[in-house]
Amino acid sequence: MVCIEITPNIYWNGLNDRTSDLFEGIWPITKEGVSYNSYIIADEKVALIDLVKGIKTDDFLSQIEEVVDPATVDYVIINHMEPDHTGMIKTMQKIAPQVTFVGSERTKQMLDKFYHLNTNFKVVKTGDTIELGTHILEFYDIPFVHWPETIATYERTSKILFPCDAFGGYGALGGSIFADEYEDLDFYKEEALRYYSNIIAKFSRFTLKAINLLKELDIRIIAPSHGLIWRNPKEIIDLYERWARYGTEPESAEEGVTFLYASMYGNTEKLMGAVAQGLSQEGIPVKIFDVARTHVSYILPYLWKYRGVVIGSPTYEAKLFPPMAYVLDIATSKRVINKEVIRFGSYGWSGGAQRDLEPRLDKLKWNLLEFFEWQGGPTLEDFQKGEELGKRFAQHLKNFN
Amino acid sequence: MKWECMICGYVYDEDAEGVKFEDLPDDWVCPECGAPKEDFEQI
Repeated sequence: MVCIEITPNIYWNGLNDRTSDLFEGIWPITKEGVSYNSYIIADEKVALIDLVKGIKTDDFLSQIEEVVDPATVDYVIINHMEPDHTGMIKTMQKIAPQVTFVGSERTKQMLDKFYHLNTNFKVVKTGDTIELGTHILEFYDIPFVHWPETIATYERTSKILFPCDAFGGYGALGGSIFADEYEDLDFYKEEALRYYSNIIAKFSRFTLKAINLLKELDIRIIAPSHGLIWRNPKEIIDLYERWARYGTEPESAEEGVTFLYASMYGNTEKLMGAVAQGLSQEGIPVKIFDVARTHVSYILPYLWKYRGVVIGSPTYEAKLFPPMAYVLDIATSKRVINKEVIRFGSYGWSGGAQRDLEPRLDKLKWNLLEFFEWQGGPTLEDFQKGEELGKRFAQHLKNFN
Repeated sequence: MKWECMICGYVYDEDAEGVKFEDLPDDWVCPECGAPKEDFEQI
C-alpha cells in the first residue's frame, strides 16, 4: 500500500498481513488477516509511532520514503514492545543510528531482553511530552493493556490517540483505513470482539482504568496498531468499554448461551439437538460449537459476552472429552469467569467426565445448575429430559437479573 | 502456602512474607499488576 495522510503531516504507514496463519502463534487469522499499523509524524522532528512485525521490510521502508528519508527519523515511539510492533527495530536502528526510542521504563528493560540492542532510549511516564514542532506528543501509562509496559501516545494538535493494541481488532484493512468509510462494519466489529476476547479480555479491569484515564482527553481520532482508524472514536470506545464490563461486572453479560459440545459417535450430539431445541423454544439466543472442530479463538467471544454455557461432553477414558477440556483450560487462563452452566453427556462404561469437570468449574467460578448423563445411546426419555433441561436453563437465564 | 495472581502470574509466598494470604487486608492488591485479592488462587 501507500502512506495515507490522516491529518496534515500525520500518516498511516502500516502493513496488511494476509499470509500469516496465526496471530501470536495461536489465534487463526488465515481468512481474516490482520494489519500492523505504524504512523509517521513529519514535523521539524520526525517520529514513527509503533513499528510493525518483521515482514515486508522493503514495503515498510518504501512507504516511509514516500514521506521522509528513513535515515532522518528522530524518534520511534514504542507504545508496546510485543514483536508484532517492534519487529523492525534492528533495521530502524541500522538505518537511523541517531534515532531515540521512546517508551516506559519497563519497555526499556524488556526491549533489551528481547533484542539485546544498545539503543538511545528515552523513558517517559504519564504526563511527559515531546515537542516535534507544531505537533506535541503526550504519554500515558496504561499498564497491562495488555502487557505490563504498555503506554498510549496522544498528539495534542491533531487530537489523535495512538493506543497501540487497545481499541484494535483482527481483519486486514480493505479499501479504506477509516471505519467511517465502510458501509458495513459488521466484519470489523466481530473481529474486534474476537481480538478483545483472545488478547485483551483477561486485562479488562486495566482496560477500564485506561479508558477512564484517556476519557479526560479531547480525542478526535483513535489510531490503534491493528485494524481500523476511528474518526468517530466514541463508537470503538463504547464497544471496548462494554466488553471490558463483561469481565468486571458479570451481571452486564448478555442473555444468551454458548453451547459447547463434542461427540465421539453421535450419542452426545443427539442430545445436543434436544437441549438446543428446549433453549430455542424459550427464545434464548444460542450459538453452537463443536469444540473438536472449532478453534477456541472463535468460541471465546461468545463465552465472553453470553451469560450461559452448555457443556455437552461425553466421557473419554474416564475423563472429560479432551477438546472440551482444552476449551475450558483456555477459558480459565483468559479469566472467562462467572457463568451459569448446565452439562449433559454420554459415557461408555464407567463415566468420569463429571468428576473431571467439577474442579475445572470451581476454578472458572462457573455455577453448575444441573447435569445428566446416560450410558451409550440416549432413550426417548433421555431426549425429553434434554429438552426439559434446555427449557429450565432458558428460564433460569431469563429470570437471572 | 503460595497464591498466584491469575492476571500476571505474581506468586505470593506466605512463608517468605510471614503473613497468611487470607490475613492480608481486603484492599491489598497484587504488587506486580494491581489486581485485587479475588484474582489470586492458591497453588
